[in-house]
Amino acid sequence: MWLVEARTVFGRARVRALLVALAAVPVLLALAVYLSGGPGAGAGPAFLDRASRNGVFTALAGLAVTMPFFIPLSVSVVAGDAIAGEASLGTLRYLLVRPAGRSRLLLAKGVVVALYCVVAALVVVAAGLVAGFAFFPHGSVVTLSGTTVPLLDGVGRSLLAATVVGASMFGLASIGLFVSTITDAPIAAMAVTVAVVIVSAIVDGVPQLSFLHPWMLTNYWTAFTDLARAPVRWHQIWKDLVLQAGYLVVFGSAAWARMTSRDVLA
Amino acid sequence: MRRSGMPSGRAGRSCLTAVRAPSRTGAHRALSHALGHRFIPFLPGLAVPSSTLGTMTYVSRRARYGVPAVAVLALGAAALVPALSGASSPPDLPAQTAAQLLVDIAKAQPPQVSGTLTWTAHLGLSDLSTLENGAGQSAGGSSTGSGFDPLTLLSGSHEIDVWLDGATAEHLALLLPPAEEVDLVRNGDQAWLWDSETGTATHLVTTGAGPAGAAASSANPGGAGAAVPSTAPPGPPLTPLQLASRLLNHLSATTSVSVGDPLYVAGQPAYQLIVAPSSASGSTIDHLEIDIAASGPLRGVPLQVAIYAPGQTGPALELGFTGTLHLGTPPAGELTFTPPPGARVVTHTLTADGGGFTGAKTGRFGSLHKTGTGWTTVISGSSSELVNGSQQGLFSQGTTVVNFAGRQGRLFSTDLLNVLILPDGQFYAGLVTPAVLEADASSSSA
Repeated sequence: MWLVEARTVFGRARVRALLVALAAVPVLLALAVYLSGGPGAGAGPAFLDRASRNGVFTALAGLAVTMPFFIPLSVSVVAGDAIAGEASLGTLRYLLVRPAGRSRLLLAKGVVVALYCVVAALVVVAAGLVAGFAFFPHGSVVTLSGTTVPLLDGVGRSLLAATVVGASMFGLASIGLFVSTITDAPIAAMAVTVAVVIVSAIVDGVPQLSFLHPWMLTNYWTAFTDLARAPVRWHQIWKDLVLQAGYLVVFGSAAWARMTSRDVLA
Repeated sequence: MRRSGMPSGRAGRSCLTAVRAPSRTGAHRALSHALGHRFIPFLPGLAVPSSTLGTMTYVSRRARYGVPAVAVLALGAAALVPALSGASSPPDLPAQTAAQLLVDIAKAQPPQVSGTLTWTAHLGLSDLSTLENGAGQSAGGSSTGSGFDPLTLLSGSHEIDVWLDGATAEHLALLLPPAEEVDLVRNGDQAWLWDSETGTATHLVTTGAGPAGAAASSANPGGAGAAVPSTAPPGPPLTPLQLASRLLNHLSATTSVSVGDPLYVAGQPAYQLIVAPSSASGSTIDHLEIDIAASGPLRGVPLQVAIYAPGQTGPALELGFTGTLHLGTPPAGELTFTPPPGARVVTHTLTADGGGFTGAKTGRFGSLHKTGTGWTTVISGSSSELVNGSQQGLFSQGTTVVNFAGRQGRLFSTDLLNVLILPDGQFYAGLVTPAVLEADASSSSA
């Protein structure tokens, strides 16, 4: 069941296309920086001004560019499609015929969506590392704090950053899964999930609403940049993971409540 | 829980089903609905319109939403209760007089501690980023490559990681979102300033007998005197120890000092010292709060300093430890700095009396004059740049026109700092109300 679900999702043309597009972002960044010489110090997205100094930063710049919108968008597509997509095709009732139960079906769908979150971020970092090492030097890595760490440490940190970014999407993925159990129209579920990201980002940008910020889904999304400091600052990342776990529990259980009590008409 | 006629499935499932099933037929329907026909392969039964289900079943279906509701309540309580209970139980400390606290401060050892400082500025300026963008554009180009801009510290909140090893070494890391930082590492008479944005490592070398400038001010708080950069620290903000020592130098007959309620700062019990101008003097400072560690190795060390403007509930400026403090000598690796390969290394030589710094100030603003004393000190000077410079548009945007004593000037006003600029470039600045500045301007020109 798990393998079948994973194969179905990752075998879809649109999911593959999303992953290819995600992988293209850091490659394009690397190419642009290679041809133009890159932005001035401190300009442009985070890490991009360092991309030409070390391939590791190409990967991190790719992550910083895709993190605010592209990765959440693709997660919204996959999560919103999870249940509603089956419902709209009329295949949901046939899935439920399988001797597995609704809860297990939902769990399998959720696990595959979570897997997609991590894979999407890893694809960006992997493509960034490959492109970065093709165009730029790959010596030891200078952290934001001005210390120097070995290349392997830098690669490890960028892969860890991808995992953190993937985990940062779990809250959004559970919201998408919940919305997906409400509607039979996958496009509606995707749109609502993307809207959640946008509203959260807007609230995060309004200083007068600062009392709400620690509760916002998007608030700690940039915490992965702390992995490039020395010593690594864990507490923002930790807060992010706790917040995502909270969203996961609330919306995961809401999705379960809806899934196990709904009338499956399609 | 199980009803007769129910197939015995897994315990959890039959339990749920039993709650939902008021009758035998209801049980079959609900079961087929929930389990996707594992036990009752009867496909049309899968699509059960809710109208055909009994009231009991409807309630139990709704009851499932109790799980996320309980999760919301539990998580909310887990997040909010510690904050509320912490606020309601101040530490139980023996009463102290203000004088005893001052002695504690004087006797405090330079702390060996690492933790995170949070610097917050609410000066009544909504957002300085527009001002900065304007400055960048009017200067005829982008502001990139300029490195760290201290103006960013005048609004919002910033975190500074600190590692302090007594008087011998310190490391301050000012974290700038999203991915930049400014580090100051001082070890003995060696100091490095690292700006990640430009990749510049500035080596600060001290000439003369004394240790580096930072050390001089922390080890010898009496010597700092009048040069209090109260609103615009030229580098990373000072540690609370340095800041409080300097602020207390301003104590005189014009000042009242009292003790507030004890509180916790970064988990440490602390006394609160409240310092206020004793009369309506024209100062824009309502009062200062200095929170001083009550016990342990940090005893007497200010953990938090806050400046309040009149009529404000929150502090205008606040610098204090947040999160968890780690007592003891910080790791040696944090207290040394080696310029990374590829960094631009600049060497600056400082004289022990800080003469280079004032020289630079004099060059840009002419000679500076100080009038008044204590809380109502006003700094005046002259700068034609302010009125004729390339930033004319920005200047008129950020200031308002004021008329006083038959003259006209422009006022740059924040909750704490006011600056009055006359058309000839003469300016008056201080932590005082505009009326005091206007009086100064009138008397000096008359």
